[in-house]
Amino acid sequence: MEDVILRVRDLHKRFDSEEVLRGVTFEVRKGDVKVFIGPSGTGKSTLLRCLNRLVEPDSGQVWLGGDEITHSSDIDGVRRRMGMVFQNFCLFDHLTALRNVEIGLLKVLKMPKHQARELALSELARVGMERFADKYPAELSGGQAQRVSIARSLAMNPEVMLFDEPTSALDPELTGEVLDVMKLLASGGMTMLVVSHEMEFVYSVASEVLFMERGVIAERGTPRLIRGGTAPGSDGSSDAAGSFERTRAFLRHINNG
Amino acid sequence: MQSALIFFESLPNIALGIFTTAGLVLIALSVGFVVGLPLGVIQVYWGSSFFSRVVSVYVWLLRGLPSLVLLFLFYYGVFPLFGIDLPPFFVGATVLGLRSSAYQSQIFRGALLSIDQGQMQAARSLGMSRSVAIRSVILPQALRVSLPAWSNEYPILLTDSSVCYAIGVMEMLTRTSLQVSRTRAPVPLYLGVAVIFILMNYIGMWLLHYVERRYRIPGFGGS
Repeated sequence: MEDVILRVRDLHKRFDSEEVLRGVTFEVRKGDVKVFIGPSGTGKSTLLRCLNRLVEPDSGQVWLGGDEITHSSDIDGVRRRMGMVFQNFCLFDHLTALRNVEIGLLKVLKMPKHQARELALSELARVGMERFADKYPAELSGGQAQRVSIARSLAMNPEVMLFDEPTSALDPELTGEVLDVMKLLASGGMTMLVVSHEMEFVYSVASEVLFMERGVIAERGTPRLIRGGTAPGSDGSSDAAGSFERTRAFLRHINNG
Repeated sequence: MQSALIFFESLPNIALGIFTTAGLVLIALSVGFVVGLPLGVIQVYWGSSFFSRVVSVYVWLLRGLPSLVLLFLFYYGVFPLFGIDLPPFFVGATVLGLRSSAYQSQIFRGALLSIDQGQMQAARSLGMSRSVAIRSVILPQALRVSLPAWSNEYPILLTDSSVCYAIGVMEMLTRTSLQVSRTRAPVPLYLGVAVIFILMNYIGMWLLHYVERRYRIPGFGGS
């Protein structure tokens, strides 16, 4: 398939005695929004980190575009093509919002100063943070900080964006502003891999939900299928399993929690 | 009265030593920084390498020996062995600096370890190499964190610099002692030099506090 932008095959990762990923395989097409859900400790975050090799997978392959990247020696070049948004924002604490967005452009892409500034400002505007350009991370709310960190990744013009629980460190009233930015990105055609349990977001923008359990993708399907609105198969899914029992049980569980 | 007279008479001569002492301290602080910082970085970011083990031994030896012993070893042993003929002033400054680098490396190591790992991960996820990430993201933060502990090095070196007396550097204590043997009035002269040390100490600490405030970042590293 030509528009497959990311291909993951049989990814394994073990931390000491614990096998966190036990063979994960999936494909992502351009413009897809894949959302990973599942109990904590099932390898969702590890999976994202294996994709840009912040964690080195033990075995398996990842292709980005046409390039096999699990053994690429130019890992910095690969990471440049994938944006990553962290649970704890991880903004650079000593830099203003603007400088946070600029620094990758200057140090990695070697962009001229004025050009980097212009682009950084426009990325901040894209996430509605241009008024806070001169604020330091500690002066921002969690939601604002997360929006800046999204701008920081977007500025690098990535082919894929990885979101590792982008709202779980936020107070409930601050998640909306971050999710709105993410919805905007999704509707703009950004390819996104998201670990999140914000089901309202999942139902409105996910092209596929992947339920992970004990290191594997246990069940997967479109949000519509999982919600059970339509009978399995009626929207063209070839997924024969189609029952989503465990996914639904998990969702009931987190709704009650 | 007599004492005061002796003190003021000797003051110009002792005061000349201020420059020598200040020179020793400034060179030693700089050598300590230039050598100590990379050592700290190696220990934290290349912790399992061979170099890191070399650094541990270096730190162990330089912290483990009295400064006077080190000074004699370098003055009579190491420098002559390598055919380096330096004036005592530079031998003293180098030894004080190397010794300080051992302490400073541990100050920087602690500061580097205090920086959240997410900072490195975020930098790497943007495509920065490890060394670029260390230079543009980690060090600017770690240096700020290290400043309060690093400030200790100034009074320590200022007071330690007086060991250079032993190899004849004309710093404040050497000059004072010469005046004492001339005037046979130790108390006013040693009191006098003590006051000068204390004042130099005060000025340095004031400067360091200024630097600390100047580079403070809103909400970063406590407030």
